[in-house]
Order: sequence, then structure tokens, then C-alpha cells
Amino acid sequence: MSYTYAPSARVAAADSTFRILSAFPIAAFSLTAVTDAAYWRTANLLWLHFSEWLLFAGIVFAGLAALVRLLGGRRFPWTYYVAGLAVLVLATLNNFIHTEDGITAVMPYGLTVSVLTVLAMAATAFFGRIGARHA
Amino acid sequence: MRKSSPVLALAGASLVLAGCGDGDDFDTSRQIGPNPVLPAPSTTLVPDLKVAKVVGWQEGQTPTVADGLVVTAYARDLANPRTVHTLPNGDVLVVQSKAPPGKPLNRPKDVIRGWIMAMAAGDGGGGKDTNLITLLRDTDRDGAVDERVDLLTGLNSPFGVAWHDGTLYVAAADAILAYPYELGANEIAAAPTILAPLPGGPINHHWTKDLALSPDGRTLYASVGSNSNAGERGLEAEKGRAAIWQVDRETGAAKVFASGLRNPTGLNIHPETGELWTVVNERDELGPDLVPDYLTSVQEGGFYGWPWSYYGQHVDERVYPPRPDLVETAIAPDYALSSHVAALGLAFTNDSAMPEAFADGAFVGNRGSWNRKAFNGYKVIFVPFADGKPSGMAQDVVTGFLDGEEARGRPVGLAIDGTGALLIADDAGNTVWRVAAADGTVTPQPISTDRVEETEPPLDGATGGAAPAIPAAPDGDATEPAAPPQTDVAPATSPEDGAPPPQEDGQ
Repeated sequence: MSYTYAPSARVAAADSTFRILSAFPIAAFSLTAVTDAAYWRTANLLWLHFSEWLLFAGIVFAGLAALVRLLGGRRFPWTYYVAGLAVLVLATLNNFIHTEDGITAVMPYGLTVSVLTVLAMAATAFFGRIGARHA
Repeated sequence: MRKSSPVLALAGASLVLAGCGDGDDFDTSRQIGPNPVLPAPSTTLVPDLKVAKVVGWQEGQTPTVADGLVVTAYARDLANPRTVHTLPNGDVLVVQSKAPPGKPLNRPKDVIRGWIMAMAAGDGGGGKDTNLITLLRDTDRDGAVDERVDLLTGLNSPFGVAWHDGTLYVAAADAILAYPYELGANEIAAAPTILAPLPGGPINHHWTKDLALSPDGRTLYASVGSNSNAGERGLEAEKGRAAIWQVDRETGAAKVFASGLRNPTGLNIHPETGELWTVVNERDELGPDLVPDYLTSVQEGGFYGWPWSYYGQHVDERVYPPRPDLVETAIAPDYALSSHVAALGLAFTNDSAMPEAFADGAFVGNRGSWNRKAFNGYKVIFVPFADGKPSGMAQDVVTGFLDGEEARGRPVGLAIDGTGALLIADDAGNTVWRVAAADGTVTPQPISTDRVEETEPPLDGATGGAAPAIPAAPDGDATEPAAPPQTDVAPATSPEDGAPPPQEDGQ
């Protein structure tokens, strides 16, 4: 009995941990698109610093969330993993783009990648939901 | 760099951003002279970062000098010597210092930058206390130091010094301090007065304030480096910075003399023309071959572009918002020294005891690069002059600071000593080197680093042309054609080092 019970408990624990961890990148990367645009429109460096730290915090928690998901045992369609990987790659890239001094940290590549990251997160959620239905 | 490569490969696979300009095939000598070749800016995801690890000098090792010269260690076991200054009696002051602590870290990037710069600075002077000024006295003028005494200790990151008329001026990280000091004395007991506050912390990114004295002895010029690479800390942080200040020696009244100079040091008056000259460190992260550091004469009221443009009117696209009105007024400097060499020291050779080949010109100390893969700098060069202007190609004079991928030392400040030989402050090697003519020539008498003319100008009246600092109008003045660059606005700051306030008037 305990033999079948243990894996499902592990999956449930991994699932809830993933939800907690993934809340950070979802919030951080979405806000980055907003703060990038705010810096572009206002030239106030406060917004650029927000973007940099949001991206930094976001990628740390996104990495942890990805680790939990991969070790968590639950299976998803391959499209889900591709979209998730895209989020990680884009956000990593965006961290580096945002180390530039001044407006070139945001325009044109920074803001573009911020928006692409949000789209990739939406795609991940979409493919994850489809996968969950068929699981 | 190697550590970040997998990340880069991953990132690069998804989006190609910019060409990774390597620049190894670029001939850096094309950027030495009055008309440097300026390639297009190239930005990489991770800026090139390569600092030579400081290993120090082994027993018996010295830098290598050009033909007709000999090199000796003038003083060893110093603690980050940054500038050398010769007093009118031939005594030499060695200013030793390190960066003031407490710079706020605004960005994830700032943390990483901190590690790199700590590595570049070496072991911090072998654990010895720095932030002091040591006096070296060569009593018999044989090129060897006979007396050595620590004149001032516990200073707030000093850099520039000047002496005139019984007063020693020390440019600390946030103020020009004035100490009563007579030539020949071995001790300073009196507390300083503040001649003029200078832009200080808490950021104080380029903190080294250099000093030069005008030939009439009335005016001090003080250099104030920028608070950022290219304005990325905001323009509020740049008030009075990236500028050379003119300070009245009697009253302390100060104004910005010239601005748009990213990190000026090595202030010197040309012995023949009386013009103010400086070397300037230009900006980073535009590629391995941008922007050339330079040597230039400084015009009163001149604007040299930083941060909005470089080398005249080449716009830096990173700076936001742009200021085309100011870029239009930017002056191109006189002589480029090639990119990322970190030119920090300058000494004119006129009337020194150097061989004929170095009779008219300037030595420049290039501390060495970090923002390019192929090292540049790490040596002292000679720029020949004619009629008070650079004339011809620079040549290497003192090399050997670099040993493969490691640095034994890094040259910073330069001066002609009391015998007419060149002194080099080596802040990573904790040594002052003396480079002299091989035939043993010395000058008939000492020449001061600040060459003040003997004839005193007529007394009273004007205060030497230095106007009092005028605070910026609270709102736009309609008569002004354009708002001045932020760097021209001198702040009304007080030094934060706890030094006592001026004592001369009891208001």
C-alpha cells in the first residue's frame, strides 16, 4: 500500500513547491516588461534598477522551480518543456542585456526580450494545462 | 570569462545580439596621436574583463627601460603609492591611498565589478596601512633616498598634492585640505583647514582628486572624476564631476574650469606655454578599441563631451536622454593614447636631466587595461612635444610591469624628482621607481613639480580670476541659451570625513 502511496505524495509535494517557486518568476518577469517600458518613457533610472533586480530574483527562482519540476516525477507534453526552457533562456539573456549602461539596457533588445519572456511564460502555462487535462 | 561561456552559448543560441568584437587584430598604435581611428561601438552580452593578477616584484626584478636610461627602486615597501610630487627644495612626497569604502551597490552588476576592481588593486599594500603621505629626501642628490618619514597619516583617500608659500595642499577624496608646512620640516602637527570641499561620497566612483598650481601661484586646479562609466548612475550623481575645478588658493572660492572630462588626473601646467594639461580615462564597454584615453590641453570653459559624446562629437547612444545641443559644443582632445590604457600619470620633461631624446615632451603613465582581452598599457610612454603641442609618435620608455598574464606592478603617477630624473609611483608593486639618464646627468638645482614663477604678481584687487561658486538657479533662466551640463554645476557639499570646518573667520 505504501508502495503506491509514496510516489503520489512526492508528486503532490513537488507540484505545490513548484507553484510557490514559479510565482516569483511569473510576477518578476511580468513586472520587468512594465518597468522596462517605464524607464524608456521616463528616463528615471529607478525603473531600470527595478528591472535588473526583478530579472535577477526571477531567474534564481525560475531555476529552482525548473529543478523541482524536472525532479518532481510528473510528466508533461514536450511543448511544455520547450516553452519552459524558452523562459529560462530568454530571462538569462535578458539579465545580461540589462547589465548595459543606460538606455541600451532596455531599447531595443531589453524590452523586446522582456515581452517575449512574458509570452513564453503564457505558452508554458497553456501547454502545462493541456498536459494536465490529459494526464 | 570561461565560467560564463556555457551560459553565453545557451543565450547566443536563442538570439544573436551583437558581434563579439575581439579586436586582437586591431593595431592599437592607430589610436595613438591627434587623429585616432575610432571603430564602430560593439557591445557584447558580457563585457570583456581581463585584469592581470598582481604578483609583485621579486628581489632584483625591475622594470625595463629604454636605451640611455637606468632604473632603480627609489623607495620600496610603500602602501599603494599613487602619486609622486617634488617640492621646490627637491624633497619628494609619495601619496599612498586606496579607494574610500562604502560605495552603494545599485545593481547586480556592481557586485561583480567590485570583485574585479579589488583584483586589479592587488593585495591592498601587503596589509600595511595606506592613506598616508611619505616624504623622501635625497640630501646629497645622488638619486638615492637618504631620509624617509611619514608626513601625514590617516587621510581620507588622498591623491593630489601642491605646495606654495608655507602651505601644503592635499586633495583628499572629498576636499582640498590646507596644512601649514615649511619646506624641510619632517613633521606636520597642525590640523588642516578645508580650503574647498570637492564632490565626495558616498558613491565617489572615480575618487582620485589631482592638484596642480598655476604658474602665478594663485590658483589651484583640482580634477574630479565622474561617478559612473557613462552616466548610468544618473545626472544628479555627476554634479561638479567629470570636471576640473579652479580654486582660489587664498579664499577657496571655486568654480568648474572645464567639464565633460570623464576621469582626469595627472594635472600639469606646460612649462613653456603655461597651459593646463591632463590625461583622461575614457569610457568602457563600447568594445576593446573604444574609447581611447587621451592627453589634452584644457581650455577654460571647455566641454569635452562626457557622458553624451566621446572624442569630440561621437555620440554615446547609451546616454539617456540624449543632449545633441551639448554634443555640438564638445571639443575633441589633443592626443589619443589608445583604448583602455588607463592613463593616470603625466610629467613634462622640459629642463629635466633626461637624455636629449626626451628633452621636450611628456611622460605618461598607463596603469593598464581591464576592459579588453589583449592587455594595453601597463607601461610608461613618452609623447614628444614641439612648440607646446604633441608632435609625433609616442614611444615606450618603461616596460616590464607585465609578465605574461601577470602584473608585477602598475604605473600610476609620475614626476620629475629633485635631480631631474623620472619617478614612477607603482601602486600595485608598492614601489617608487627612478628612471635616470645612464650618464648620471643631474639638474643644477631641483625643479618643483608645480613650477611657480619667482615674480609675484601685483597684490590686491582681483582674486586670481576664480569667481565664487554660484549656486544653480532654482528654475530655468530665460536668458541662458542652453542649460549647462550637469557636470558644470558645482554642489554645495561638505566633506563627510569629519575634518574640522574652516577656522579663519568666526561667523
